[in-house]
Amino acid sequence: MRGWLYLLGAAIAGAVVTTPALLVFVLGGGSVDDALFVALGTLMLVSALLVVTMRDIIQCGLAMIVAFLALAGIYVVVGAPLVAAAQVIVYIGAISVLILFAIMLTQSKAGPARLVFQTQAAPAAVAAVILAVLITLGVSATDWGETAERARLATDTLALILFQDYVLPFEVVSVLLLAAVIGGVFIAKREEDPG
Amino acid sequence: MNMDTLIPLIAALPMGGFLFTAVVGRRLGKRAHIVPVLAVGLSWVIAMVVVYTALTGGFGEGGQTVKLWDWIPAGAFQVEAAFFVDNLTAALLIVVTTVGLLVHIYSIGYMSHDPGYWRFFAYLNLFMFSMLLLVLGDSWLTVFVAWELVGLCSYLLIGFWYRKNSAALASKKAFIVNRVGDVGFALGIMAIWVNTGTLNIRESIDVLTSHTLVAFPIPVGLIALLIFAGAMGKSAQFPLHVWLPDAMEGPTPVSALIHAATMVNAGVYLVARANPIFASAPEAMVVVAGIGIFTALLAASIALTQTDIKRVLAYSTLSQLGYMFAALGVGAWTAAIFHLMAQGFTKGLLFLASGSVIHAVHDEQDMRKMGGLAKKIPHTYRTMLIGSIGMAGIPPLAGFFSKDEILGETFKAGFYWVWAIGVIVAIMTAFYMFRLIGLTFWGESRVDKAVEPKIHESPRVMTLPLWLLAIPSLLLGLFLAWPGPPLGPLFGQHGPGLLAGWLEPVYAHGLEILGHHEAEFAIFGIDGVLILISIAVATAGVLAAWRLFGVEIGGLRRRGQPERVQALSARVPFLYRASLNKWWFDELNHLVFIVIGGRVAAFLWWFDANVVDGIVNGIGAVTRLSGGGLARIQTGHVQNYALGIAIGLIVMVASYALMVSS
Amino acid sequence: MGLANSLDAYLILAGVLFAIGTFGFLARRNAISMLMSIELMLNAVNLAIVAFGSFIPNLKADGSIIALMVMAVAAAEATVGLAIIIAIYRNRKTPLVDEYDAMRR
Repeated sequence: MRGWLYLLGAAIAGAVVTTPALLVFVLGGGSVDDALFVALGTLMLVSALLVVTMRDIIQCGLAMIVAFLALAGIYVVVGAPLVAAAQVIVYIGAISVLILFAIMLTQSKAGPARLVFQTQAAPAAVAAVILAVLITLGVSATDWGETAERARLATDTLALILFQDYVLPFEVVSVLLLAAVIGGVFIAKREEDPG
Repeated sequence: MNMDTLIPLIAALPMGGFLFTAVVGRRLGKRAHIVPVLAVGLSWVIAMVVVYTALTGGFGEGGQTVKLWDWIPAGAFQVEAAFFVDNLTAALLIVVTTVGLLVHIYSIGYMSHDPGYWRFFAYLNLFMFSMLLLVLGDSWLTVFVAWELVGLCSYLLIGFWYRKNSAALASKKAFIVNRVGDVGFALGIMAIWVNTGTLNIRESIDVLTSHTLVAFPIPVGLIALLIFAGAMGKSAQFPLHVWLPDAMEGPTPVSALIHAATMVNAGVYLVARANPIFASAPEAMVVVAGIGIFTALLAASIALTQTDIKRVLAYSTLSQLGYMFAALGVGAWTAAIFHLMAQGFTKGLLFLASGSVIHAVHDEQDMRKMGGLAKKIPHTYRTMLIGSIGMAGIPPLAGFFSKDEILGETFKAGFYWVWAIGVIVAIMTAFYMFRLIGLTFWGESRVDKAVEPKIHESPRVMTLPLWLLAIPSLLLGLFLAWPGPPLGPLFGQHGPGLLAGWLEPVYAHGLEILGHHEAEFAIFGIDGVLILISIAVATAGVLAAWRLFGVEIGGLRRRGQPERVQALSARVPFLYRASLNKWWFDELNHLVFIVIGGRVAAFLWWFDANVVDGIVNGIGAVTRLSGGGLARIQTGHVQNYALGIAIGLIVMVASYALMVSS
Repeated sequence: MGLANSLDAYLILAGVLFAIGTFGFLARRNAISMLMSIELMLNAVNLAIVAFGSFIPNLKADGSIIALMVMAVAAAEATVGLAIIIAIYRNRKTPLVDEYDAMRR
């Protein structure tokens, strides 16, 4: 029985996502890339909204994973496949898992809390909307000096630059990760009883 | 021993006496009077030497200054501690030291039963020091300090019997009313300094009267009025006269010394000393004369109905002080000082004699309970009679000469209204003085039956000063006013009398400014007429008093007629009651200052407690409340802070965008 | 429509994602939800950087590399943040942020 609901949900989601894409593709006369962009963008935004509004926190985590996936797709569309791969591996493979583990460790037996949002949710929403509007206005008003087409970077070129020009940040980041891991382990360790 | 040491000694000796008695007096008991009396006695001797030197021209025209040290050397504000003696000082010294010494001797007897014997003499010596400092002072500031000290001594001595409520209240009243006048005086001194830059009396007077073309920051007339305000307080002129009758709560020697002979004359001395200032301000002089003669009339009208023997004398003092100020106001400065000296001795005599009477009838002061005392206390009676004759203005006593000179000068100066009122006051003076004598010494005895057998004459130590004071009362007038030989050439004087000659250099400046000329004494001209009028007027008053209150002098006998007195008073009920109630001035003062002033003060207190404190507390409350309100931002929740950051970010970006786009 | 080729589109997308993340950070009660919102914000920034790298000629390789660095740092930050949340949970027995008010006035 439950399975049908999930399938139905997935179908609705798929419809939601593909409709605007198809619209763009067919009516707007755009290319496949544009349709893909619209589809993936819509998916990402919808799942992000679900992340911040759903009651059950595990479902929020799952929505977040979907958002990351969509973002990885967009990275591919933009022309940065390495970043897309890293996104999937790091965010979905590591951070999301980490978050789900943390959710598991901090679940209270009473279930999800009564109130999802804080008392300041309304002003927060207003602030968020204004922020979005400001960014949009700022972005569209600025001349970035961009090229007309997106450039696709070859992975081997990227690798060369990474390990030649940017080797120091690379190494420092690894040290940072080490420190973070050690720190995290130490902080989250259970207090041991003496003796 | 030269003048430079002698002059300061006059004041230093009583000071030493005060310090000695204040420290060890309590243990000396009945012998506490020795050092103070000796101190004053020595001071008197030295004073007489100094006076003689001054009056025979030993100090020259400008007088003698003895500088002690630089009191206040503060840049532009320089004041020296110095003494100054000229003929005016000498005249005052005579009165102050003589009456002072005699009062000290009298007090040995009068205060002999009092437990505060030593305290009395200590205060008396302190008073002598203050008064001498006042007349000897060289700068306005010294005079002011002495002025205040004299007020303090008056307070201490009026309230000598401090356990008596009325005495304590009276001394407070005296001090406070004096202070009101002193404010004026202090302002006057400050004004003098602003105008002239110096507080030395002679220098400042020279400066104030010389610049007639250049305008002073503060008009000279105002300075004169301010100085007169101080004199009004000290010499109890209207409206600051209310303290003097109440000051009779003090012991009788105090009344004699302070409130008849010396302190109340300080005001007269002050105005006389500042005579060129007054001469430069004719309007101020008119004010002085007006207030003076009004006080004289007012006080005389009250004295007509008073029943306390000391009160009659107190109002009489007020009245005569009014005369002196009237004289000062019309430019008759010599006459004023003459009256001062005559009054000093006469009033001192009368007060001491009244003290003797009170002593005789065992502290009864109400004249309605006296009568028929002439045979029982002969010395007191005779000296008091002499004093009363002098007060009434019968020649050839001192009172006649001085009063007549005042009236004559006012008439000749053209102040006819002052003269007319003065004549009326003279009638009243004669009348109430002989009313006093009649009620006290003549007729049947109305003394309390229990006291009557115990009436006795006062001891010699009290009657001796009485006789000693009677002598100048009799002869001073002749001595000072006799125009020609043989006394004139003895002192190197010619012209209108000894005192006038002595005081001429003191008043020369003032007279010059006024433009007065000393007219020749025309015994067969206007002066003679005025003298006759004075004598007639005095005699009329005396006869009226005899008619109503009886007389028993020599062979002249007449009974008093109390019924007649009652009938007469019944015919003018309002005037009688007004006179009896001192024209309700005390009630008026009470209403204005205590009742209305009290309400104003209560309102101000309310204002201060509620409005001013309210504002101050309100500021505190506002701060506290706003602080409390603002503290609510500190919720402790990170998300609230984060919202704040977000809002701040939005505001910044939006305003930047607005700025860029505009 | 050329959407895939317009830098503005990617940037606006990133901006909206950032706004959604901000809302979630300010409005959710659970601490882990706040952290998830932070991750959304970081991802939005990453998208913007990558978009710049793709469209601005000077930033050809830098965009991707910076995005990689941001990702690594985000991972480190998530690690430590979650560890802290777990430690606080052990102390306060609740994951709800508005119940952490020990610093309240």
